[in-house]
Amino acid sequence: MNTIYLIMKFFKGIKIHVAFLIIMMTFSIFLGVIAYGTVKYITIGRDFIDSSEVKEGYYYCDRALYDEESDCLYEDEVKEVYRKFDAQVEKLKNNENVEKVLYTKTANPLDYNEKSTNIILYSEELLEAFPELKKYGVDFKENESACILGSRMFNQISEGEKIELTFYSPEKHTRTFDVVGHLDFPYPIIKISGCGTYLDFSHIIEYSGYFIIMKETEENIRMLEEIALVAPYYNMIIVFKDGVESEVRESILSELEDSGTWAPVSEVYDNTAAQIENKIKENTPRIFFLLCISSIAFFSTSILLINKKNRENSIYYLCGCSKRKNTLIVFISLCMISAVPVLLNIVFVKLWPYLQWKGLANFDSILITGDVIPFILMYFLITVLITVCALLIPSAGRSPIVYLKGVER
Amino acid sequence: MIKLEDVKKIYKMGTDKFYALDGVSLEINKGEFVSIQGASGSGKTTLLNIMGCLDNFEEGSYYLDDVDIRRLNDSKKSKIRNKKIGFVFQDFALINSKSVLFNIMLPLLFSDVPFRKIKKLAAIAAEKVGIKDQVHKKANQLSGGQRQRVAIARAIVNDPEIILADEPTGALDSKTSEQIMLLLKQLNESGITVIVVTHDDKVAGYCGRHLFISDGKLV
Repeated sequence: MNTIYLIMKFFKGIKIHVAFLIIMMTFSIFLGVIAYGTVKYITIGRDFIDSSEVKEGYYYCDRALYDEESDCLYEDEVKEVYRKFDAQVEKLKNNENVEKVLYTKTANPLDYNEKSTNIILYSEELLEAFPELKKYGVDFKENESACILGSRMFNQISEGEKIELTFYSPEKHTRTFDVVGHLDFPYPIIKISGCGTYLDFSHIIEYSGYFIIMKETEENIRMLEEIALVAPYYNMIIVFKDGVESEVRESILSELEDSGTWAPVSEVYDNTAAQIENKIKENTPRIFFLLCISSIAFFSTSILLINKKNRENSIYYLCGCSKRKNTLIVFISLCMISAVPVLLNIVFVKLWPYLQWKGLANFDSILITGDVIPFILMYFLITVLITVCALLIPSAGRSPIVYLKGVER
Repeated sequence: MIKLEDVKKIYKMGTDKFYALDGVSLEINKGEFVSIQGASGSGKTTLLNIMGCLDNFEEGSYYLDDVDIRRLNDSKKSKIRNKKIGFVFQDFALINSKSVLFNIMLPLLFSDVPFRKIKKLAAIAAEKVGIKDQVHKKANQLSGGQRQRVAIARAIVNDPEIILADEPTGALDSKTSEQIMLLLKQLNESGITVIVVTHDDKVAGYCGRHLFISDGKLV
């Protein structure tokens, strides 16, 4: 209690300095967190590809089917295009040189508590090809008809419970599904949905937060087709068998080129890795500069504060305060100053999923996860330790009276 | 109670050595009222600082209640300063921006006394030295005499065995000096050992034993 009282007294008369430091450090750490988030946004995608079995595969976008669907007026016509996609997939799967064909389908539209959501279907092959999915909670636990909830809006539904969903195609249909798990933040979804001349991770992975994941089984497809449109994204990843000659591979791909475009997944990976490198190059000097400036501000302001309190400290020594105790008071006081910005930023990181969900923190292409917290704490410790060490140097090896005389001079 | 044996305090100036204390040996018993007199630079303040565990020395031994002070680390010396010794300085050594009460409370804040008792004990000490009504004022709002009373209150608040006073009246007028010395005499009569460093014979006149120091040696 006595020490707490002395710590409280430490802040008397220096409130403005302390407020300045807190604001500056909070802002610098916040910008650091945001910069980390821009890199994290891409690295999660890169890690998905890196750990997958599709790195040697080819990303194929069937533009012809996509255009054909756009021209359709009636549901039957659309379904015909879907069937063509299925036939295309089937044809490729039956090719003796093809190991696997990965794609996703979605069943929509549907409603949960008046909020729009979608079902995305993953094949067994896709689940095997992206082992990273399991890390985020995609595990059907041998329940083929169950679903995994991929949004914060389902948080009140626990594993083992049932979820009731309403489909609107063409009339209202309600179905109940077993829930076997929740997708973890940032709710990564393998979508394989984008097309373009420049492909990166975002064409394969999306952080959505509006999907319910189900397994693509014949039974599930049949059940969903009764009540909704089960649509493919017209893109796929084709993985050839080991040892397939390049001529054979190229002939299959050139055949596909008639109706779409393809690119090696390695190119997608390389583009993603280059983006990370660019982001790091772009952000590091700015953030390093800001953090250095705030550390220097903390360091120099702390030294000024302590110098201002040197006479007080020397009188503390006369009254029986040991150097250890005085160091403890200074250390805790400085920790309290720098702990405020650290805590504010940690609270921000922890609240981020909620703020994003509520639309209160809509930064583009930023993903803030708890991974950044150790870096925040490291910054806090380094800054405080360097400052306290610098503050101890003047009193090291000096007797209390030498210290007092030094202060008075 | 206090025993110094051949204590030497040496300052090195380049290759030269300056003996601030040059083989000082002395004994002071419990309850004594001792003055240490000498010219400026004779080493009297250095001797007081060593007795108060505020300064280190290079050679010799210092025993306080049979404890070899030279062998103690900073924490243990601080504890001794806190529990056994009270200091009174010429320039008062108060924290001017803080209240009188806070200044008096300081030694208690570094002791094991529970926080709830600290203010009460500080108020008692303030009453003893006659500044009860000034406790909520800032130290820099008081007169010199009042400030020295605050310093004395701070020195006695922890119920010490020894009070070390370095020129306690150096910054005060003669009337206030007399009051302060009477206060120190009163404290000595209550059983506290008081050691006063002074160059003023009148101040030394209040003491029962007189030590003289010249060029770092007791004479």
